[in-house]
Amino acid sequence: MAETVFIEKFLTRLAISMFIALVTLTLVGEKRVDVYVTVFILIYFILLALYSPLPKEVEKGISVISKILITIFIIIISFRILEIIAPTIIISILRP
Amino acid sequence: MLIKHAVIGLNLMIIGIVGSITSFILLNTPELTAALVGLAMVGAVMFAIGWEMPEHPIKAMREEIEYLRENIERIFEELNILDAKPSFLPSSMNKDGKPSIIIPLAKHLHVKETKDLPERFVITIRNIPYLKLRPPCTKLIKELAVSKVENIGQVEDILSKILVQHLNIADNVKVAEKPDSTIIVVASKMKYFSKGYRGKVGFTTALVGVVLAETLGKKIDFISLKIKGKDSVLTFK
Repeated sequence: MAETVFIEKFLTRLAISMFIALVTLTLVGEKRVDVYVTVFILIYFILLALYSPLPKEVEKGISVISKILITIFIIIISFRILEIIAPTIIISILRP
Repeated sequence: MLIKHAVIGLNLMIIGIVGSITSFILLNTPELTAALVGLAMVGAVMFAIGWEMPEHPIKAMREEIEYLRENIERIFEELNILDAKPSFLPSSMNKDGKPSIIIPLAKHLHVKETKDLPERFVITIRNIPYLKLRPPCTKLIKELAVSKVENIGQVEDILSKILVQHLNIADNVKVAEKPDSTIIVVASKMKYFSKGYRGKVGFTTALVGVVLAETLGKKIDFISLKIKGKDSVLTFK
């Protein structure tokens, strides 16, 4: 019972934090989707660290999601770095 | 599996993924795309948790606790020890390395001798019979590595960690030691009082007593329990 309450707190705070981030980024006029996604991923990992350890039963499922999100995060960051140091590579990737 | 969480999570995930792709390609609105990506993320987390988390049959668990509580109460009543004041022994004083509760069966006397007590439910010390019980939350105490500390402030920290953070049965815990070595524990805004149990030593008292014994590394005798509104005032020595 206590575990379920703990998990629900985690989920509620994740949703609220993402909503706050969404509103803030919209208000500052951000138009790049990857920035929103990166901030959401960071919020997810911050909350995961704050609420760790999560109950043992859900660790497997959460680790799968964490792996997917960290992969997306790495891809976004890699593209941003490539955009700065080698913009021609990005153009060749995006153009068929 | 928590069906509700899994179904809602799956729905949010599908709406989020399909909606974000549609809004990104067709509508070209980054704000909406981002909102739907966030929705998909929350949905995915909710689905993973709902899929993995086992559902606890709360009603059956409550009934089981009630059944066990009632029968233990009847045994204690028959032995005339519902009002008996127990002593708490730390794991270092037990042969099996686990803390224990000692309740006198014959007289209202706290146990004097605590060395080499046999590993039995009923024990005899100087011809006085005692009950040797297992305290609650031994697994949690072991997990948190509760051991001897140097001052009463650290005892307060450990008790807060157990009662407030882990078990969520009180809002705040304060521990004070008087000059006559009496220890007073005040658990504020208690959310759980072992309702219906008529004995002196309920779940919270036993837990606090055993944590005190473990942290102070000595035998702790229970003195009294007073309930003031939603606060519990426990006295030990």
